[in-house]
Amino acid sequence: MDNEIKNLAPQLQRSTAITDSRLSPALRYVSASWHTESKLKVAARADMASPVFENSIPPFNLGRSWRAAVSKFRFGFQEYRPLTNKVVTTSRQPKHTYTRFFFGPLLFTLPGSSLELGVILGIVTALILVVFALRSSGSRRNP
Amino acid sequence: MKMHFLIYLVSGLTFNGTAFSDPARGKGITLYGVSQHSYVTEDGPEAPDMKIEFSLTIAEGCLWRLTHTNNTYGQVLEHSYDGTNYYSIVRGAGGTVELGIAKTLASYKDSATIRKSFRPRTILKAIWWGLLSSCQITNGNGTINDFIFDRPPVAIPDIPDPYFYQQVSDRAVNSFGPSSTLFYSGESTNVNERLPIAMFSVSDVLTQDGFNVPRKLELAVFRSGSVRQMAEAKNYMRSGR
Repeated sequence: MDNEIKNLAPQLQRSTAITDSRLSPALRYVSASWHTESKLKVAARADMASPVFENSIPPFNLGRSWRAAVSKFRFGFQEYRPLTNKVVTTSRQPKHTYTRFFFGPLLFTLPGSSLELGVILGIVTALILVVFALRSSGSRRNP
Repeated sequence: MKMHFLIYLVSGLTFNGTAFSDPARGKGITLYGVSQHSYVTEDGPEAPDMKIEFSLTIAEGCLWRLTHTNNTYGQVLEHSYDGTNYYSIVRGAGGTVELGIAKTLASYKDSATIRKSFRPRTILKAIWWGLLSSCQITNGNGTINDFIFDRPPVAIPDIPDPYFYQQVSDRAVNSFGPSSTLFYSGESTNVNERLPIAMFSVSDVLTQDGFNVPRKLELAVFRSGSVRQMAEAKNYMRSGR
């Protein structure tokens, strides 16, 4: 243990992930002993430490916003608006959506599929129609 | 409303003959006790939400080390103060982390923090106010932020609630902290027209090797400073349970 850390500090016994707030921003490193501040700077220069932001909030400026905690909110996300100091929770579309796409003159509705799938199917349908149209026009020119 | 007030209680504090005086640690003591917090309703106190056993070593110069078990996960937690920084370690909280720009993977067995400040949460509150707060709070009166209620762990920048506190220190009752503290919401020092939102008190003094330590530390937090809640809390504390 370093001399500047007194005897009452808990002893590290094995590899430990240490979040160290003595520098700003805080740094995280893995070690079996407490680092002094100078040793911590050396570890940071050697790319053996990563910056850590308290509460997982990245630094922000006025006017910027961030989105976080997507995994915690299944149907939405939280957005922090620093100008108003508010966190806004935005809900996504309901889980059961219906996708519509054209197949020739017909309009199909597929329950539970995504919008992207509908777009892809629509494009494929349009390509097939174009190929058919080209073929039929070619056969008319060369009987 | 179900909850009338919330109580943080430290009981059964004892020395177990471990006052020490050596060159490495100076002069100090090691205390053992039980800390818990529970709700008190009109039907009386509910079963404790959380209950832990702890050991606390206090040495001269505000050095201390607090060890307790997290009864939710069964992990051992240690906190300490070396006069400059606060150290916390959770034994057995292992995992893998990416380090640096190169994102080098490193596995670890325990997790630790070094901080410039220490904020006691839940069951540690009464211990901190009774035995450790003197290291940070040197005046009898003052303002402190967000030390009474626990905030939900959401990613919102801390906008602390200020509390004005009024302490009474009696070294014949407590060698390491206040004998009583009243908390008022806000920063105003005029307490004549206000009711406290929380109150801390100690009782049953234990004396050994020149140290006076209360066996019982109690921090009662009211949802709002109402006359009824205050009266209930006083009756509850007088009853001795």
